[in-house]
Amino acid sequence: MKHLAKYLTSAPIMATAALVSLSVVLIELNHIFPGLQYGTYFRSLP
Amino acid sequence: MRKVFSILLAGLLWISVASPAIAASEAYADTHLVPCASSPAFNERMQNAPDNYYFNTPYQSYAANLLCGADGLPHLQLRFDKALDVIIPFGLFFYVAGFIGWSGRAYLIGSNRIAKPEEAEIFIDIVLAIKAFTQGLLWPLLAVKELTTSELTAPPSEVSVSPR
Repeated sequence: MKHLAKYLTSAPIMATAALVSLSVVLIELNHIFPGLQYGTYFRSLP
Repeated sequence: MRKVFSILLAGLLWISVASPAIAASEAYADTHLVPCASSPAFNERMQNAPDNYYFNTPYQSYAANLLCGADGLPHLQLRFDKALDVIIPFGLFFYVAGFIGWSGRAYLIGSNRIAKPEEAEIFIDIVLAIKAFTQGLLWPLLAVKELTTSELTAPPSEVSVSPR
């Protein structure tokens, strides 16, 4: 268990976890605000 | 100095008062751009686009809010009333870039204080990392604080100068 915890905190595993969580955030942002771009922030979607 | 500020303030006030006065039709009178909803090329693109959420919502939004060129694609106009649309993404980018940099720096500074600094770079010390992320979230405040207490910069005596 101790070795598994240490393995999970190794840099490549943590980097992969960070990448996956960032991807989830970006995919969800695109889902909630599709086509978000300059000029459309302050106008409500029709 | 006071005179410069008063001129600057007058300019800013003029811009903020003058820009709403520009009627919607006049706002793009000086360009070849037209509202996307009335652009035939844009409407053709909209009709040919796949019929799903990820295409419909953006196209409706672009049709309502943006100006399109002859290619039927939305184009940005450099206008003061659209300035926030540029400032917000830039501000977000700047904050996120600072967050990444500051957390990394805080983690390295913190790891130098523990017994095996090299090991902390291979096996991430979660407690230290969370502390570093918390500091990273407050980076604009911490940067100002460290700049005023001259922790952020090296003293001139430590900066080597090549012989002249």
